[in-house]
Amino acid sequence: MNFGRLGASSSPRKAVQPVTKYLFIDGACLRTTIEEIGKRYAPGQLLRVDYDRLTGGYDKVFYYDALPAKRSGETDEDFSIRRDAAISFHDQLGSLDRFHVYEGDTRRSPSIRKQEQKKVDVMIAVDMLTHSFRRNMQHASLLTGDLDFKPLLDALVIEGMSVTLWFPPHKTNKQLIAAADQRRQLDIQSIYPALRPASKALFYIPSGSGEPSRGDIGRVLHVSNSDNGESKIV
Amino acid sequence: MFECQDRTYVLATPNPNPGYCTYWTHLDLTILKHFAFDVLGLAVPDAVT
Repeated sequence: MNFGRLGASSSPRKAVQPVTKYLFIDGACLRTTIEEIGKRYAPGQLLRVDYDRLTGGYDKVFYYDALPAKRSGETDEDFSIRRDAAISFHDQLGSLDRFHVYEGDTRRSPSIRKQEQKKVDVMIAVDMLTHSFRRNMQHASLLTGDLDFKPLLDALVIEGMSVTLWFPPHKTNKQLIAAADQRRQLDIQSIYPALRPASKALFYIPSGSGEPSRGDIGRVLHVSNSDNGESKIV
Repeated sequence: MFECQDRTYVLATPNPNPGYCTYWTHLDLTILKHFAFDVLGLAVPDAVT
């Protein structure tokens, strides 16, 4: 009787297959988050991002954004400049390897008196579900802060897809965050490494170092108690 | 949050290792306050200057 060698396997060892990851970007969310971060960390400056670097690690990136609509009182010339800039930006993104850009429309809503994106949300939902059903990807990431996408995340999770939500903190509903399998904050810490050198040179961000507690290391400016939300200024 | 003698600002936050802290240092208090709120979720009042 041959019991074989201890630990030996009769089948050839299988190579570990890399996980195929797709990223789906709500362009309006990414654009406004980068603009707001720029206003806080480099006022008066436009932050330029290396999108190839920002999305490193994903096999494909799908970017969805609406072309701007004409604002009330805006001249045809100003509108044309703004729209051409958006088209040029989409063309640049679309020329990057791995990137696919899809454009929706923007219309002015008379009821809520602001611009509304059309088609974009449905395009994202259709594409994420289609890639999921076809098993084109093993992991899906969605960059958004829009609660409207919660049913989409629920459907993807039920389908067995591993889903990460990449969201702007303080602006994203907790229900949306809870619907994902994994969460990642879209904040200065995730965007700064992907800034172009000229933008990176405008400022730097704090880096944390773990050290034995040194007590009061200077004049105390503020004490915060995260357990009960209390804080005091000294 | 501390102001040190070398004009740097330091934010000390709890560290998973007992007896340790994570120290976040910056020369610009405004950036440190934004970072504390955006990344760490710690609101520092505007009155802190």
